[in-house]
Amino acid sequence: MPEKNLIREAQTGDSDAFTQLVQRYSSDAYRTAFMVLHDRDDVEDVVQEAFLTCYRKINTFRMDSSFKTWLYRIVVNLCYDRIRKKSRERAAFQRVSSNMKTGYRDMADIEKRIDLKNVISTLNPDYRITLTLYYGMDFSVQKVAEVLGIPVGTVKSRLNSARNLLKERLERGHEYVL
Amino acid sequence: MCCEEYLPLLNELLNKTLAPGDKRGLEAHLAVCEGCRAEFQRLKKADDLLREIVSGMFSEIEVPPELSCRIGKALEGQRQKPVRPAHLGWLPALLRTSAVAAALLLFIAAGTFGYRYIFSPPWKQSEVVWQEPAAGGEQKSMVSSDDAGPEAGSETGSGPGPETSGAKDVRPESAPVIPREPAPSSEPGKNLNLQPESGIERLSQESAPPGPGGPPEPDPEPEVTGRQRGGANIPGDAGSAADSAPPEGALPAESPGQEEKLLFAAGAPPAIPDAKEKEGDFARDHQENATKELGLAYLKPGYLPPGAEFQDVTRISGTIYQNYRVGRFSMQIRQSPAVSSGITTGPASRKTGEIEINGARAILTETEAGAENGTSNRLITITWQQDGLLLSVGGELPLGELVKVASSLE
Repeated sequence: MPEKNLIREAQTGDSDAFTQLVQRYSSDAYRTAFMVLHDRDDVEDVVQEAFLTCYRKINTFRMDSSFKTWLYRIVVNLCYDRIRKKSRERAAFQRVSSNMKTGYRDMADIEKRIDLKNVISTLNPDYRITLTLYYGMDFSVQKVAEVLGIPVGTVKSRLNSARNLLKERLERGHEYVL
Repeated sequence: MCCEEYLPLLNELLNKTLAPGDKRGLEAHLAVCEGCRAEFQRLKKADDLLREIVSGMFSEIEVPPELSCRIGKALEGQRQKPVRPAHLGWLPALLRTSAVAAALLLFIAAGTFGYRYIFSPPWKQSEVVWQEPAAGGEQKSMVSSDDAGPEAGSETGSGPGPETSGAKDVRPESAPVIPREPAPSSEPGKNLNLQPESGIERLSQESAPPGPGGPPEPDPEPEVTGRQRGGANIPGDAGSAADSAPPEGALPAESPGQEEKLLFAAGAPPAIPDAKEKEGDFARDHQENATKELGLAYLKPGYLPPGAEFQDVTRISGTIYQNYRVGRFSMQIRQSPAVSSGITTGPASRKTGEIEINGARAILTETEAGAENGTSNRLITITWQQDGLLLSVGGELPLGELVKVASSLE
């Protein structure tokens, strides 16, 4: 059933329709949150709370955007809330300048690593979620900006920084374990 | 344009955000400029690598098979609360504003008092009471209350003017006996009384904005346990984040559910179909819809363990996942294009052997060893390549069942 029909039915109180939306999007929502939080308990709480929020507010949804975009925006914001609460990540959550390297402190250590997955995992959460939505979810730049609530230019800047970082590493001849 | 002007456009080209005119110009330049072409190739290589790594990391994340069920259970509590009609969405938010609510209460109280005072002032009330026996003994019940006048007026639908006030409000004998309850609001009142909670208490609880550390949902349902309960413990600012998240913007504050129940209980509650009745249909419909809508072409199992229920099918970065539930166990079938490098096992998996599936060599892996109560709770996965596809069947089921499923994929 098309998404809009499911939403309309959910807005009339059809629980099965909303259940279908859960089944359709819960896995990707989980994976997206996991890319940011890396904690299964936190991730599960976030995804569950995101769907509960959607359910409670389904009647305020006016189809201006897709349900998926709406859900992901809630998921992302809840992820950020979780990060805010964790003091160990507080510093990393601070808004970074356009230079991605200023987003984390132990760049020198990261430079020594050869596992690119670890590098991505230790990026600033702003970058992790941007890369996840763009590369992992195949969202367009515009849609990533919409989900994150940031300007398109900021999304481009983050993607460019990530590419340049990788390009530099490739030029240095690192061997990456994928 | 010179190379310096084209270089910033290389990332735009990779981002697919370049205007058509600029794209043609850049491509024409790349065709003739070796330096820019080399720089583009380097960036493209980085872009491809990023896509490969991030999408790989993304698809490797194992989603708990019971995730949908847990969310469903958490939603059960919400489902007790009728969904607010969309066209009345502004009303609870308005009433949540304490100033508006207080003003409304004052208005109603003042209006009632003024109305009664004007149209049934004390001296006329006493007159009514005094005149009642003269009007007829049967009407005692009506005039025993000083509300008789207004009620009578409203019952007939005509606003009681000064000339109808007081003793003249008393209905003749032919008039129906009016119950004591206020007539105009009797319907919502009835529905409120049907609610298990005290309406006023609940409304006040829900009207209060969530405290900084308090969960916005104060009434965890008894059936919500474990993860559901954890999820209900929403951080204080999680709600605000969720509120600010949706693009629609004008969302009301947290937890409108309970006051919705109270304010809109007069409407028919949403029909909740019996989940078990629709289970089979849902599974079939969902599978068919997923195939149609997502354009998924995937191998379906000809055999399923007894009691297996289809959950969902998703496609992530070229890999198609079919999820099934067999009682309290889960089973997943994955399908992706075959890999020339051969089958590898993940770091968390332990290779336990090899078998043959449909004439192909298949690898057995386990991610969690151990047995409980004589039933397998290990996550066994069978992985093999067949017809140009890399296939795997995994689950917390006995190996024999998984082998039957794997052999039946067609």
